[in-house]
Amino acid sequence: MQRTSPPQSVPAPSHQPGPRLSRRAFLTLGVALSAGAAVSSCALAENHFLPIDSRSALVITPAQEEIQLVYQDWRTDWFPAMLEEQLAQFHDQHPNIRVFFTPDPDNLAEVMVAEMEAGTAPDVLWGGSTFFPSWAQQGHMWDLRAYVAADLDAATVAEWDPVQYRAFFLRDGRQFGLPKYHGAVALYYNKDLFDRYAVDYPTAQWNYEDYLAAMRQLSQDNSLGQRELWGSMVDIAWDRLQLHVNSWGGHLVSPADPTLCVFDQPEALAALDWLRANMWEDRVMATFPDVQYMSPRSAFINQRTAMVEEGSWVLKEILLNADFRVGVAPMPVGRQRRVTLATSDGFGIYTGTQYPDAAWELLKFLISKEYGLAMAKADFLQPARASLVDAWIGFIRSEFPEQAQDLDLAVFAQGHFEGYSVTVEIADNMAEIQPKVAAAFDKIFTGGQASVASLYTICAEINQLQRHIAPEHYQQAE
Amino acid sequence: MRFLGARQLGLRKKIILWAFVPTAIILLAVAVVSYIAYRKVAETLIIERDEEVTRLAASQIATSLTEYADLLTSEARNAALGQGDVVYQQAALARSSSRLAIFDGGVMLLDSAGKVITAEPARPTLVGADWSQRAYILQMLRTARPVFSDSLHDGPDGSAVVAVAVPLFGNQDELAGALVGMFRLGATSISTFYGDIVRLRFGRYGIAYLVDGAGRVLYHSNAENIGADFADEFVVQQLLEQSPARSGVGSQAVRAVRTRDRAGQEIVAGFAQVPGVAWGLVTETSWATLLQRGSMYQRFWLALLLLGLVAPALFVSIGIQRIMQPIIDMTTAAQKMAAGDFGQTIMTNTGDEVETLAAQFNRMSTQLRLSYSGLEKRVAERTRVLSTLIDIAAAVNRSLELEETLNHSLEKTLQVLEVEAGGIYLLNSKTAQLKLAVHRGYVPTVVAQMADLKVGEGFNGFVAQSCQPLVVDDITCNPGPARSTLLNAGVHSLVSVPLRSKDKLVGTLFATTSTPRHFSPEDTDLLTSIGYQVGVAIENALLYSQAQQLAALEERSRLARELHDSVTQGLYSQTLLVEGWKQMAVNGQLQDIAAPLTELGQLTKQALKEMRLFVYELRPPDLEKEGLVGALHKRLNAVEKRSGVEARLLTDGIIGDLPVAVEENLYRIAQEALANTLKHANAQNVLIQLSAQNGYVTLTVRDDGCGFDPSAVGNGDNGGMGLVSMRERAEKLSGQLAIESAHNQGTTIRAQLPTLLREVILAVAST
Repeated sequence: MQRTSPPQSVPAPSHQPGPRLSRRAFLTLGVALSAGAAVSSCALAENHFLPIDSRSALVITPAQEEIQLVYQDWRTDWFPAMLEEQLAQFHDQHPNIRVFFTPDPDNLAEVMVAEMEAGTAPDVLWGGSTFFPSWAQQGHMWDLRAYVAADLDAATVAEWDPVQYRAFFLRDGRQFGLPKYHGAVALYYNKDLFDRYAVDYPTAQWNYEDYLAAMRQLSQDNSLGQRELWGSMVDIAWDRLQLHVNSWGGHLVSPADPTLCVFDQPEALAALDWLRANMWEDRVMATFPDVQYMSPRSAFINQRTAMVEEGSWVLKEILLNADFRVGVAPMPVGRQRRVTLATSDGFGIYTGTQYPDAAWELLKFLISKEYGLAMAKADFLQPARASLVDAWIGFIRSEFPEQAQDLDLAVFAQGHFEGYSVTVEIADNMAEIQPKVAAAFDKIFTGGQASVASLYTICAEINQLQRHIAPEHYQQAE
Repeated sequence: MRFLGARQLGLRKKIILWAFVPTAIILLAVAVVSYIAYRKVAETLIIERDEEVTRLAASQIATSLTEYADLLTSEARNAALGQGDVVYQQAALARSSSRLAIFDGGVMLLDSAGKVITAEPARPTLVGADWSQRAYILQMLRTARPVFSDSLHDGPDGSAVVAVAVPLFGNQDELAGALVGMFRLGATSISTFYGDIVRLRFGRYGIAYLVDGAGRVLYHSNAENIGADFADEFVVQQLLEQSPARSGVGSQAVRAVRTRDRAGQEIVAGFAQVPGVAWGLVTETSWATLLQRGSMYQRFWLALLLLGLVAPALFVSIGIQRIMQPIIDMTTAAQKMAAGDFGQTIMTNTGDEVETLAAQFNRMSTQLRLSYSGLEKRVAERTRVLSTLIDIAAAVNRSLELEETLNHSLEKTLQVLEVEAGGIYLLNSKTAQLKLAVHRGYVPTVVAQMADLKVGEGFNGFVAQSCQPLVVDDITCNPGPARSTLLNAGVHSLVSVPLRSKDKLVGTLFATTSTPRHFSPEDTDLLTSIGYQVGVAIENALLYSQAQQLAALEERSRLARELHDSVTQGLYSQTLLVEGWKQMAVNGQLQDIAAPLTELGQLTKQALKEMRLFVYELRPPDLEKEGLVGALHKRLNAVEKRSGVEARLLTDGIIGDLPVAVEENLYRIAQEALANTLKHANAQNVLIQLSAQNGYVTLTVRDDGCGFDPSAVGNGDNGGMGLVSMRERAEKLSGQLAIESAHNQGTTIRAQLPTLLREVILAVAST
């Protein structure tokens, strides 16, 4: 059986459940029993004191040599066919490993935490940028450093956007994932509407004033005075709002201290208030109620908005469903800089897996060029590897020769190549913070029921909450 | 109570025996009982755990199945599917393709007659197929609830699948058809159906497999077994027999048993029916593997047991060693002290009673050493004194010469007192004068000055007068007439004690030093003791001198009496006879001169005999030196043979060494008998016989003299006194004396004494 194990000099992942504590307990007992403990310890193996529960029970190697793994990924219609084809290759390469696929459940972020706690999570799974770090913070993701150091060369790592790659590390240094795709955010626009209302197409030189002016020109009311077309739309999500805050020079979470909430700072509040005003004062950006809770891309496809801030991962859906000419441009330059999102969606290994080595083999396959190309071809997922960008563009132009003819697809890769990508700012204790912030954002942007000044209170609450997470930091700060 | 010879063991071993061994036995017993209980409980728990794990796993599978059914049921509520328009129905399915993608075997829409209307993904060849007789379709139609099938071959290209069918209702809630989702089976499938099973991680318990209602394998930890028929497996048979469908019992069939797998290995097999379907889940775990986990604990248990025995033994040994070491040290020190090595000390720092005991021991040792040292000094002093006294006493007993005794006593006194000068005054009680008898360390001029003292004069005179010892540390501070003499002699200190015998002062003993010296009470006591000895010696010397004078006087009287009684009487008789014969001759009456001369000769001869006897008694033989036989020979040669008596000595038997008393008394008896013969018997022959026989020695003295009548011999005359004396001597030694005599028939005296006395005496002497 072919196995890939970390070299002996590389320390084993430090957050594996069960055995470490049990062994420490044993060693403590051994010390208390003085000289005789040596006799005892000689007779004992590491796993002797594992608690017998569903998660950490002693693993009994099956009689057969076949290792069965479960891999979870998107629930899309294109995924099973693509995956079956890819896994056939993997099975050929690893005949002793058998991989089964399960699609994401509904309410993925919450359900998976329950599955992980129950010990029934898949061995290998993908994680989204907003909740993936949270899983890792809760200790559910395997630390990949030893495997990466042993199996991945520098050239491979260099292919990934450094910003994106760094996003898969926790503050304590643990690496919980590797990039699945790049997923840059850009400004999709409806060329037909722009032409209809004689608005210049967005350019790489656009700033927020240009963006706002265009939105105002494109926003249209019907004969009853009801707004039927909005200039643009943005998903009211942590990462999408972060782009605007970053471009205005602010942050949601302090880059220097992930325990510190800073979206109550002037730059962040100004950016957020700019969005709020566009939605609820100028009404040039659609809210979810405005478009009957359609997703932003659906609203764009259905021409309820002339522009939409969306990622490359919806490119195929838009090209497939839009019955108008589509253009794409970089995100406007903010008050301070231009940013785009490099999604930190990635693959990771569940700590409850029985076969981490086999899971790593699968994970290596999932980040391989072959698998990246397969995803790029199947659903136009922007590859995380720089070397695959041209092929990805080629797939799109090949499948949508007319729609993509004038489409500047390289816009999506600019952030990667020009280095202005940002990743989601992750605070410690994201699992508790995110619901609070999401509720506040919904109240401000979706409901229009509060001003951004309410974020002062939210930020204070979060910081108060963080004191319990990192009391030493706050003691030093005070 | 004697236990295992415990009394013969050391204290350390006793403590271990009584403290540790019972604990170890109890520990061992507890460990063995715990081990047995652990094995029993572990086996029970393993079985129960396996049963419970299998039941939970089956329930989890059921949960996944329910989610599939729910997904399909949710899709079935899509109104478009119930409209009866195939185009709309196909479009509705296509829109849900993402949600339905988990059914990798496809989703089929059936009409109310059980015929396939459409499929997603499209399967044109399947349209129109009649599935109304499929068992699961029939059951779904009958129950109007989701139903899962057993393994089928209704998948794409006839591949094996399991299907879930949910009812499809029309606008009036009439049964409009069914929606059937399929999961592909087989080793190559990546089905979600399998993924949801695998993620339950049955593999951690060993082998797990899922069989349908016919015993065919739907899932197996080893995918190669998927599709195999396991209906003949013992566990599967048990499972199928106990399924609610067959047993008629509604509850979930769950059990775990110990059995053997196909390879013959002992396993624990748990099986449970999956709720809601006819399937069953089987988990198999190697019994040896399960016990292997226990064996690890067993090794740990054994290690703990060993530790439980070794560690206490070690701790007890070390502890006892720490406790016992001071005691051992004390024992060793006590043994050394008993052997005379005093001054032993023990260093302990235990902080407990042992340390206190050691401190007390050290204190006692120190005191004992000091006491013994003092005692030794006193003993040495006492020995020195006693030695001196014994020496002086020996000198006193050895010689009755006064001057010699005094000189020796003075010499020893000066030695023991370690002084250079001294002397002894003897008291002349008639003149009340003290005369310097002996002296040491004084020049003649001083001696001349000290030679005579009156009682009461000078220091010694004072002592003689007061009969009390006198110590003068510094004579310059003491007035007295003799002071100048002593000062001139360079004397600085003086001690003097009276010499007494039977409370009678006989003189003084004194010692002087030219340097300052304090004579202690011990010195005075010693000197007083010596004074008593010297006093006795002086008294003895005086008595001896007097006794010598008295003895000489008595001897002279005896010799005079003897001469008067014997030779003088003889010579007187001769004088009378000669005077008578002269008168007769003058008167002419003497006719025959020969006869008077003969008689005169006889008288002279008798006198000569007695003179010889007298002279012999003045110089008697040394009986102790010459022995009885030798002494008798010497006597006969010196007296009888020279007197013209034929004397012989015969011995019969081995006479050997006789007790001194026996020899002396026999000799005295023989001497008395020979003297009687010589004096009175006028015998020509004397025979002495000595014989030893049967523990007796017999002395026989026989003569051929004139004899006598023994009965006529009284107790008061001389001759009678001699016979009585002989008898008393014999009887004193438990012997007998026999006298045989008659006129002119000689006399035989026989004395028989027991030699048993000799043995007794020898025995006493040897003891």
